[in-house]
Amino acid sequence: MTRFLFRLRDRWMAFWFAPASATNLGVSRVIFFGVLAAFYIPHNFSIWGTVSSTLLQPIWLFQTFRVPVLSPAMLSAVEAAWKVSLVLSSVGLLTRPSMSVAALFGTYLLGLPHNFGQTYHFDALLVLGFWILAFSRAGDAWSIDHLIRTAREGDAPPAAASPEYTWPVQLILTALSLVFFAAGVAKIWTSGLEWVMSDHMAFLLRRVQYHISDADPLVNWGSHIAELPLAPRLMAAGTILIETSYPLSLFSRRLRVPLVLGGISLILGIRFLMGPTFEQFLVINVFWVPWDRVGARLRSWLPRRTDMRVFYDGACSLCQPTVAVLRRLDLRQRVEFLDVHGDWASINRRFPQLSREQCLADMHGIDRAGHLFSGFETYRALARVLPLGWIVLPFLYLPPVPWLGRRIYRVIADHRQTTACALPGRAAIAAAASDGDRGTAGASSGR
Amino acid sequence: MSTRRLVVAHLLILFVIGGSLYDIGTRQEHWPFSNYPMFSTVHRQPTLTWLRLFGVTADNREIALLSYNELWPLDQSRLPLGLRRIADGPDGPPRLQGALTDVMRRYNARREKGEIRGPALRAIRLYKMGWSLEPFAANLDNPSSREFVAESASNEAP
Repeated sequence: MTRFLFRLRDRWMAFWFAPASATNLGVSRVIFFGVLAAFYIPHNFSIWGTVSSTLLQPIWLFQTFRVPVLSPAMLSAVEAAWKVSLVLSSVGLLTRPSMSVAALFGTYLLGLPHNFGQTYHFDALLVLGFWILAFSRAGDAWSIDHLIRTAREGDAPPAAASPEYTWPVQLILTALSLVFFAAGVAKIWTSGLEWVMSDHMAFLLRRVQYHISDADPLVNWGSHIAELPLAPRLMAAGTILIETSYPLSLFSRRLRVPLVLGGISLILGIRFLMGPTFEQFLVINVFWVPWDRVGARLRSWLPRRTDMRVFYDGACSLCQPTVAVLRRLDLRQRVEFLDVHGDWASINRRFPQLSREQCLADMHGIDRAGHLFSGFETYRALARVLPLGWIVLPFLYLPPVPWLGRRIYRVIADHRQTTACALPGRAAIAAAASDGDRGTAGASSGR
Repeated sequence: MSTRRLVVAHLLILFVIGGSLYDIGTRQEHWPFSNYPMFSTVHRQPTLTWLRLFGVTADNREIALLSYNELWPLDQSRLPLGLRRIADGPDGPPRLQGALTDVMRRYNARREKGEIRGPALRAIRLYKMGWSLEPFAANLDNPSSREFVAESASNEAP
């Protein structure tokens, strides 16, 4: 008996707390909150403040905790804060507080419509997901918070594998499994085999054509299917099978893919053939994806090459964190960072066209084609190589951004000596440069 | 992972699983937990009975309010089911009339803002409609039964 209990405890701990990479939770967080932000930003929740209290039929959460329906103005404020928190949670800025606000205000805003007439089920799991993530360390990777930490602490290694990154993912997936399981059990409990064997599904597919749901079916194929002799019953049997066996996906690798795809098909089938809007529910499936393995696989498929070489001042306390952050952003590992201060001899052999003084004065870069960049242009060239840079790349060419970028770069580069850089002044740089440099006339003109 | 964090994680795990299993086992709903009962009741007859709202125009025409935009933020499921619950509850008739007045007020207000294209409504009526199910809802405009339930009329001319 004791041995059994020990084994049970080990299995429990292995299921919930086996150390995992921070990447899986981090990437899932980015997508989960990002998709929900995109989905809900166009939504208007403040309208619920205008609906008459005659229609109010509070659900237990609002009744038990005496949660009021706020005025439209107040709702607008809560709504704005919630939407900002979704964006911040996705990009990972102030991640923990942002996710807490997302959970608190999300529970209120998503729960509010259910107090008017009927409780829908497409967002309950999202609310559970919000709360689970609010208690998690989902911001330890793939977040601006992590980049800020990297900049502060130098080139610290990425977060080590930890149980902290396992249990939130497992709990969200368990909650998802219980949703499907509950739906299957409810059907069997309420109607038994009649749910499959009778004409129920055919009737259901016809009923929804009469505008009785929160949205109309996207296609009217349901009416065609209802006319076929066996199809509705097979659909019903498939539904019950997927729903009741869905929890097996937590434990069986072999069944995971078919069951998860089956679950997604059910949700899509409901939306297309019957109407109810479960689109946002689908996003929870991102937690199934082992993003660390996906990333490793993608990197192995991509050609290994260096697209850009960046020359930076390794003795500068402003350049060091900048390069540490750039290294983090170099997801495809296409950039080679070379320390001019500490490794000039080797750099000079490989790139004799470079001047040490110039490289110490401004960040330089050379792309695959051999084009030389300096200052703002180096960052713009990097934006072509770093995947996250692709988002901002077009803007870096739009006037007056290049003009502004060059000036901002100049101001920061000129002041780094006095504010952040451990290097001595201009004279010392010139002296250091002449020490091992070929010495290019006018090279310090940029300073 | 610290002991404190381990305890927090376990409490959350027990809360989420316990809450879900409780609602499944007791067939109750405590949103965000639920037993997910949608579509679980078997329909044995090819018929449909549903509450439907009709707007009444200035020239006394009745138009079915079928567009989701016309009832927003309520919809063709939330509103009829809510109205049915109100009708079945205490103070049914006056509350029902209040709810219909609210639907009409919001419709006309949104119409004035140009968010709805339909005609102005001077009244709104609730009917209990019955259909024998046909493919593609071919008989949507020809229900087999139609029973008046309630009406709310505006005092002002539209």
